Amino acid sequence: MKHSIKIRINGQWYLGDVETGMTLLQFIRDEAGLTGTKAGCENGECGACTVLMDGKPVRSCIILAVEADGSEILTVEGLREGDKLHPLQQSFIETGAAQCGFCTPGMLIAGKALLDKNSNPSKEEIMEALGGHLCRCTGYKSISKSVEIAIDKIK
Amino acid sequence: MIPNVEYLKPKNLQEALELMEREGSVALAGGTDVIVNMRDERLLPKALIDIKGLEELKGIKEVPEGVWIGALELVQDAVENPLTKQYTAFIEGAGSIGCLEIRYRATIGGNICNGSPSADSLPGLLLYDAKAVIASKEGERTVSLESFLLGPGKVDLKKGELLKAVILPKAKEGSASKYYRRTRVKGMDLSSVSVAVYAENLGIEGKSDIRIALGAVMPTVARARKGEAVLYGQKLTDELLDEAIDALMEDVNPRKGSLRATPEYKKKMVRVLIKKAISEIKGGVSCEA
Repeated sequence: MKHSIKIRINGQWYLGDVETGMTLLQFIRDEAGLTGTKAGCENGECGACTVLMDGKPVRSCIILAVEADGSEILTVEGLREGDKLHPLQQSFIETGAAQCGFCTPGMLIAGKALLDKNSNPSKEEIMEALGGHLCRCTGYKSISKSVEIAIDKIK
Repeated sequence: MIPNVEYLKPKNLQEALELMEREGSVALAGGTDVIVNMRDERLLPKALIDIKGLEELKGIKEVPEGVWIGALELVQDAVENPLTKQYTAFIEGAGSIGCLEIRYRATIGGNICNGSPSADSLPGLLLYDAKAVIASKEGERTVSLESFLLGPGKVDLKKGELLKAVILPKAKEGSASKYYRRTRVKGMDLSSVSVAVYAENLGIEGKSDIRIALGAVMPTVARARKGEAVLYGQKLTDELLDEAIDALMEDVNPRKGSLRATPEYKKKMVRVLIKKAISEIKGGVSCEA
């Protein structure tokens, strides 16, 4: 049984007829063609597929597309403000927080969710926001540093 | 691959309860366990009943008995709600589930109904003698949350029933509680062993009420009543505490072959963490984790 759904991703509506088993992650990548969001463990554990759903960070690999019907999604492609990169994206580049880059979209979205909620988070709150994201390259220091730098940039 | 089963989204509780009467219906809330289990082929529902639209199962409110928490309340919302603030062990436990993204999606009812012996929201709830409110077409029934937990992955829900809410009885003034867990890694891990301790009039003869709940060491999260009985109404000494822990160990039989920790480790940590929690409640040094 297919379900007719519509999901607003980065301000644009995407319509689709999807099977129950299609995840939100698959819808974003395969139907909307937005491949910035990564498929890592596809089991809700690594954080690579994190997107904002109605303003909250969630794991798109363990949400069905049909569950997300009518929702508002923000992916890494929607982070930039016009022609300018988001301060988080800028600071990730400056700090070298992206090495292979696979965890980066999820990290950026987690950082964005944190800053939307709290413009002046403590170190602890930064670690909590990033705590569910695996990175095999950086050792995490440059990533948390980037978030701190972005906070200063926004101030 | 997640199988393409039937997916239905009822608009109200009555409609949902009718769908839950059908053979093979599985309720879908946050999906942080259900979707993972379906992908692993550990769960093969005929139909997913998405209950997220049911307003009857949402909200946190004061009721005459205490605090009513809707089963669909998001874990993070329950943790941040001012009404749950006094239930420290519950907040610390629920706040340690998965990671922030999981807690924004997972629900309190889901954490309970998944029936995991290591569920982090449960020890704190059991300390306060929480109740489970269960809805069916026939009406509602209320049972103690501890008796609702039947075994690994098993809760007292019959066909056609849904967990509607949990009720936390009023916390007594001057009572305190604490939750500790041990995990293999700091982020995104299930508890290898967990301990929750509640104390009221700690160590005051004739009045002292110390309650202990344990996770990941028995088939369900459960209260350690044999230990509580030793401590009840007694002046607290180190010897008495050891005696109480010896008594509760009779019921602590962690299964061998757990992926996360050996039975020996779990038993040792039960003792260590109970002592740590009591010392913390007594006003000792605050310890992390």
